Amino acid sequence: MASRSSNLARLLSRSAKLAAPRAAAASTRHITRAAPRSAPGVRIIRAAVPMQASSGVSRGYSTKSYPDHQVIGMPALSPTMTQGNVGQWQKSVGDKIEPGDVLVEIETDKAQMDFEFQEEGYLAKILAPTGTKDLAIDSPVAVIVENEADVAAFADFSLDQAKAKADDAQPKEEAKPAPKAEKEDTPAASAKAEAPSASSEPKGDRVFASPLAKTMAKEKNIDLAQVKGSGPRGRIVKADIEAYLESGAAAQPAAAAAQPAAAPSASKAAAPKAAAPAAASAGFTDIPLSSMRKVIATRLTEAKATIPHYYLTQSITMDSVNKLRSSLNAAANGSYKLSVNDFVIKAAACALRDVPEVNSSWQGEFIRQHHHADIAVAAATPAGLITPIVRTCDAKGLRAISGDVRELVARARANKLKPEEFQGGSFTISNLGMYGITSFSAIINSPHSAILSVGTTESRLVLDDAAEKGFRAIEVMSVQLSADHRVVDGAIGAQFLKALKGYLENPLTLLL
Amino acid sequence: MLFPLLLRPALRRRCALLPRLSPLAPVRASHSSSLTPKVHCYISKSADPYTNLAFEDWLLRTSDPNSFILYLWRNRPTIVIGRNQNPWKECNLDMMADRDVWLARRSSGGGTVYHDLGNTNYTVLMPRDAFTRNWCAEMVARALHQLDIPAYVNARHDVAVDDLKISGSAFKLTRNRAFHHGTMLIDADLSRLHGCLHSRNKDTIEAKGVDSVRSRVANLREYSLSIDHSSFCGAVMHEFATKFDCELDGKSDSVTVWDDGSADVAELVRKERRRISQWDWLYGQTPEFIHRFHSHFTWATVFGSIAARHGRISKAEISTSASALQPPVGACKAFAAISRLLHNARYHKDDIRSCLQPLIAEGDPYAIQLCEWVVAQI
Repeated sequence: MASRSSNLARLLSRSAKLAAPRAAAASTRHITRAAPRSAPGVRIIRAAVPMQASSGVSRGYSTKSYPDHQVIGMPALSPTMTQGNVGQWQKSVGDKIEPGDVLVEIETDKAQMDFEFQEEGYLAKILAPTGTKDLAIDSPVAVIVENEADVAAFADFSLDQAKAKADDAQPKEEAKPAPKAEKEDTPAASAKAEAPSASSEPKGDRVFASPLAKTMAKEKNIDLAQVKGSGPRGRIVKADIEAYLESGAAAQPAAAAAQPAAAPSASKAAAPKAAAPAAASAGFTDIPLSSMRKVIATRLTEAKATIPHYYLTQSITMDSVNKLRSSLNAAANGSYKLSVNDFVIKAAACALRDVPEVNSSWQGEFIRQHHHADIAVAAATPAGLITPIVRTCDAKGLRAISGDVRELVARARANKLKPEEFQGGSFTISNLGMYGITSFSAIINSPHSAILSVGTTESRLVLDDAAEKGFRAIEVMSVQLSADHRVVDGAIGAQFLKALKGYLENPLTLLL
Repeated sequence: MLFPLLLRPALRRRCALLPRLSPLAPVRASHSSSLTPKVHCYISKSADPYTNLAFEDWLLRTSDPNSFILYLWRNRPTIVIGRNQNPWKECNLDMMADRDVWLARRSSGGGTVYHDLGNTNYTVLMPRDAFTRNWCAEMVARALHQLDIPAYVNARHDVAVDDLKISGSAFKLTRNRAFHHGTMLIDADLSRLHGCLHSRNKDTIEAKGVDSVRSRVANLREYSLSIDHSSFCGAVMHEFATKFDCELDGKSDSVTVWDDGSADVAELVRKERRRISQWDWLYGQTPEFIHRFHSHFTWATVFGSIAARHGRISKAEISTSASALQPPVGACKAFAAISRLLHNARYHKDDIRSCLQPLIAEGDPYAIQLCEWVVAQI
């Protein structure tokens, strides 16, 4: 009974192989319905296996001398595995095997793995004894039968016979686009019962790919539709995935932020050396994305794309601020040290109080106007850009602002900010003055509606009738306001900058 | 640059004495967000290799499948061979006995390594889908960067400095968990290492199973005077914590430290520890091998071949070459007797000597010479 149905399956699958895929789908529907009815002994097996296992099963059909059996090949237990060593057999000849039982331990490239068999059966013959080295994927390792009574028949089963069968079944295997670890009697029925791990491909647009290629693509997040297949009938094989990767189309989105150049400055000489082995290939290093980098990428792309930015520039004379700063710092006695940025933050907070429209955010259906100035200060950390927030700057004095900024930046660099300390806020200030940048246009940090870009302070000569020489030198700092036109109109933005300029050029008005 | 200066004080704080004997809690989330994976760190203060390996096995079998666990441990002088290796081929058992170096067999693959208190082991357990060979090695390399050591990961997924191997790695994967463990040579006794890892039977034993790949090694001590077990552990914990955005220091409950006195750990690992410290595991799990040797006696050149399976002799054959002159009668009889007596004996000097005792007792000089010679080959 069993042999007849499997003969039927074999004949039908042969015809399915020759037909076009759609036709094969039609004929296999016929088969899957037929088989359970006619042969209770032959099960259509839908196995859900761990993603990495592919058992390279080739079905052996009835021959004159040996009953129905399966020849199990060396599984590809990881996408990059090409060969393995056979370790200890956990089952002996004649043992019953339940789905999920460990058949044998496999070692490959220092990794010890268990080969779990996903079907029921009895172990009839071990073809690769413990200790067999460097066995290629799909080389026969064992024979499994369904009936315990058949086990004895395999006592003299030889490897050559298994190899002959594998070659015979190979062309059929090649034509089947079976996802890995699907053991169906028929090729295309497997499209219906896809293992969960292979479910990413659309049902209607089936991609032909070998099981190993599918695993590799899934692991490396490659869309199979993008890869050109070079196997029979356009089938995508492992070599195609590798070629696709080499063409640089796929970036590795691993969780690790493995930056070889992150070695501390003390080992400067070693850092190029450390980077060189990591690079390996010609002239570039692929740096995986850290979660911070991913967040920066998404948020800033979204901001630049959706917010209608416009830019207003203003020059501010910083002489008064500098004088006030030096006299306040002189009186400090070490308890605080004010920087120019602290004054800018305070001035911005006062300006936001005067022009509250700028202290707002676009919420889609309404605009939220904040009552307090929670100003986010952009800080560069080795891991990326982060904006810790100094809360209620309008109510804080310069000293408090200075202390807060210092503490927040230090913690940001040590990666110890709590989420509420960098999420939210109503306005951002970004200061690149310490790098000598004269002016720049920053990108607004959603959901804020403006960002102030502060440049460096430069000396300029201005005409001055009152001066002896007819000119004098002044310290000028250029600021630029990037504003969201949905919330802040041009005139409003200009008023804000005017107020800011007023506070900075007459810093004593900060007291008001 | 401001960053390294800010980091070092934090690092020193974390390296301060870790609390002893926090209860062996099951792995739980280090913070409440369900999106971040559960993270835990175990530190062993025990130097018993079997306890440490058994604990690692316990972690593999019972930890939460979605958790990431860092386990730091070190052993008294021990040679640790890979799952499918041959101890007679990989190490010099006589020298190990002389120098009080134990033997252990781990459950992951790969080659033979030497452990002592100057070598620190790290194990990272992770979900099976998260397994890659490199991320853990790269994390350890970054930890070494924090300690001013220019380490990198080489093609064999080992951590190296200056082309010299300082850390070896091996992996084990099960259905839904995987681990990567490795050594780190901080200040190990390299002369003992080389001595014990060189077996004179390396070329005469033809073994199935895995051979070690030899590399030139170095201690981290050559690159840093201040590095030691606790600073290395602190650096690795810091890198591990950074990766998962959590706290891993003495005060958090994500770190568990245990030692030989921890009764709860001892109970958990008791059975496994016994299993992996016995002959059946250490020697009996050796894949099949054949040991061929020969020697020139005054009366003939004698060839010996001992085939062993599961550490027991399956076939012993002593003979002279086929076309040689017939050796003395006593010798011929001894050939057959030795074959017979050694069948199913454990492949171990004392066992073989005691199996051959009856033949030696008979008193034939050739037999005695042959028996002594066979025993000396093991």
